Amino acid sequence: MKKILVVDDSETVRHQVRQALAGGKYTIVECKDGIEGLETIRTNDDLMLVLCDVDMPRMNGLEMVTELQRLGNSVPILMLTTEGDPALVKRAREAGCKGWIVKPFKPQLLAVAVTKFVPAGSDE
Amino acid sequence: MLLRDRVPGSPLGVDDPDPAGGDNDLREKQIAARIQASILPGQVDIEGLEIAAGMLPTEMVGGDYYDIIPVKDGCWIAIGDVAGHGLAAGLIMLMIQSTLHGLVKLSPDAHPRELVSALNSVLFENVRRRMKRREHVTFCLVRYWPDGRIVFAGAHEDILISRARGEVEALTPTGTWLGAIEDVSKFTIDKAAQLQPGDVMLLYTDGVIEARNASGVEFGYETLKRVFKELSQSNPTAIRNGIVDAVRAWTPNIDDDLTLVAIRCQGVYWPETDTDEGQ
Repeated sequence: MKKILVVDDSETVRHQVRQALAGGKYTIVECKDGIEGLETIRTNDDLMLVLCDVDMPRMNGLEMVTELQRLGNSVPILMLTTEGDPALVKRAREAGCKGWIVKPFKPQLLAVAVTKFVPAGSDE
Repeated sequence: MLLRDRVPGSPLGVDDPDPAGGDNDLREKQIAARIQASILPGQVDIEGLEIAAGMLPTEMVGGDYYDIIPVKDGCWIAIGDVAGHGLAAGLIMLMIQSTLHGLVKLSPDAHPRELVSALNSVLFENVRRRMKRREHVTFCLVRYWPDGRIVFAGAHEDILISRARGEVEALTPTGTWLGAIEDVSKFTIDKAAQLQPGDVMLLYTDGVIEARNASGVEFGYETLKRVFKELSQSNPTAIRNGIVDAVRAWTPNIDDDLTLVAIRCQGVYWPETDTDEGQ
């Protein structure tokens, strides 16, 4: 199954993501902050996509993607956040993120977005 | 008069409403209303967008038109208003819809100004030369891409954008009425803007801002902006319905079609090779 990481300090949001991507096509791995996320990404080279919040304790999402960029890790990342500040969006884009989705999100929109980056037939 | 008698200057018998307001007039209105309702898009899912659109038609059939046409990367969004009522307005709307869809199918990556100019050529030929009528159309065409870019052209009401950080911006399309002159290409200019995640774009027809209360005062552009700003944290359906409710509260008798297209930018996606500003 295709493995997707969700990095968000909100259990509610992680649950919403699990619900939106339910159906047996994906294995969802979860982390609660950027430090956990960073470690999980570094130790799981079969991740096909990361969905990442911005505002989180210890290490925020933008710090995490900046660190991944510095490390040369190219796993696709979609920011999933309540933030819409253009400066933050720009930072994410410059750090190599693939997109930015605002919360609350429509489940079908998230599912479509994931399909865009984890296409059918790209099973690991 | 509908297909009843061919009067000079009105080859299809599409004439002004029966001044006596008789059965023919009523039939024309019913047919026009059916044309108007039947060509509007149903539910359309576009990547990254949450859309709520709708039209509140009047008995007169005011000639409003809107459309959302999906293409491979994003969509085309159109809104227009035929200056006229009844069957002729309905027929012109149908021409706009058919021509636009054909143009988009043929050239999904065209510039909006190109499609607007081509659409005008068809309308001018049909409305002025063949139907020998004088209707014209206010019309705006928007091209949206999944990275949040929009490019738009035409002559219509401002596009309002409620930014996620709170303010409402107005984008004024540049162009001229369709169907009035043979070539609008010199007057039709593409303009661009960037939607950010969480922004809400609102397109509307003049029936919204020109709705008059019992004292004859119009609902107005500033009131629309204020109501839109107050509603902008809601989802598009609530925004659309909230504005309609505000107009209805303002005026007991809505006497022109009222069309609203509320679009929330739910997400943006950046192409692999494009890392420039674009914001």
